Amino acid sequence: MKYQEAQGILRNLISEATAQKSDVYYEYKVQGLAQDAADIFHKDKNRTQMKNLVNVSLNVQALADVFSYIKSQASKDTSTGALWREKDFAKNLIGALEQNVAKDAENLSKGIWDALKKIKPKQSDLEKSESKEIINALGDGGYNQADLKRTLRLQLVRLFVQHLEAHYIYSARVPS
Amino acid sequence: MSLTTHDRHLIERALLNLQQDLMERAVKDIDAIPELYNAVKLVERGGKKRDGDVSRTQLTALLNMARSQPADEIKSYIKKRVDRRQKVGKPREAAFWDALLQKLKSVSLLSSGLLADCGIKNPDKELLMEAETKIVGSYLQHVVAHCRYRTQFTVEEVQA
Repeated sequence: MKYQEAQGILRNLISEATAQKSDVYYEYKVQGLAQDAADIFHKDKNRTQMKNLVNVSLNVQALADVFSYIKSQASKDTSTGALWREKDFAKNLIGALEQNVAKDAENLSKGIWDALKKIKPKQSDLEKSESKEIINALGDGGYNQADLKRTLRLQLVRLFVQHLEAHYIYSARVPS
Repeated sequence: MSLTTHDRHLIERALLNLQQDLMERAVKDIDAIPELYNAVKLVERGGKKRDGDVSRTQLTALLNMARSQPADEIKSYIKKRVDRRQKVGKPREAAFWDALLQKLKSVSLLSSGLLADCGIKNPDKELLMEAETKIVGSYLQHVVAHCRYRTQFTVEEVQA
């Protein structure tokens, strides 16, 4: 098996696993936070705070950078900083990301890595003497479990904050 | 030491993979030094600066260094700070900066392991320093972000 082919299989596994988590985040994890965000930010010049958070999550390469962004917003001496601290929003958001995204990425990476180990080379590959197992093929490109964990963290945090923003806009415009 | 593009790519990826660990390490380390986040904002809001207080300006200076200076420069800057604070009779402040210096030294050690994980067995001094600078810089940025964050909440708790 070649590196590109192994990456394709890996992408499918990641996509299936994160899609399941996406549903869980949408249904159960973001609604309370989104309601708080709507109460706090949907006024004056602060409507873009959640949009900015989504943009940050799409442009960074590590979950830690998203945490740093939230902390830097909450640390500001301005009215925006005060809003991020209102109702402990920043604290609760960081807590939710730790409890969901970071933990889920840890668990999913173990599950996916174990699943990869069980995938055997196809008979046709064995005949072409390309009998490498998928883990070894990924290793040829320097890809390891730490890379997988970071990829999952990033994908999950993007899903989480995108759902948060959608619920936030909805909550702000369609009062319950 | 000449590195291939592939080597560079592996190192960059390993550094990114290390970000989460560096952030968690910074949070743990700072939460264990309450002298820091207890005092910063109180000084800024008119409180009298006492031994042990670390101002936001000092944190900003540290952040600027983390973004632009090599690891050994940062360590020698902090070492000078420790010596100066000891000389002017501020043992608590000196103790804080010294604690941070010790943390930086232990974080620095991660660089050789990171390069070994990328298959680079005997890195030269220059490459080691490059990796160390990136690791120490990232760690310090997380330290400063967490200090400022903790400080804001601590002040509001005190004021409440």
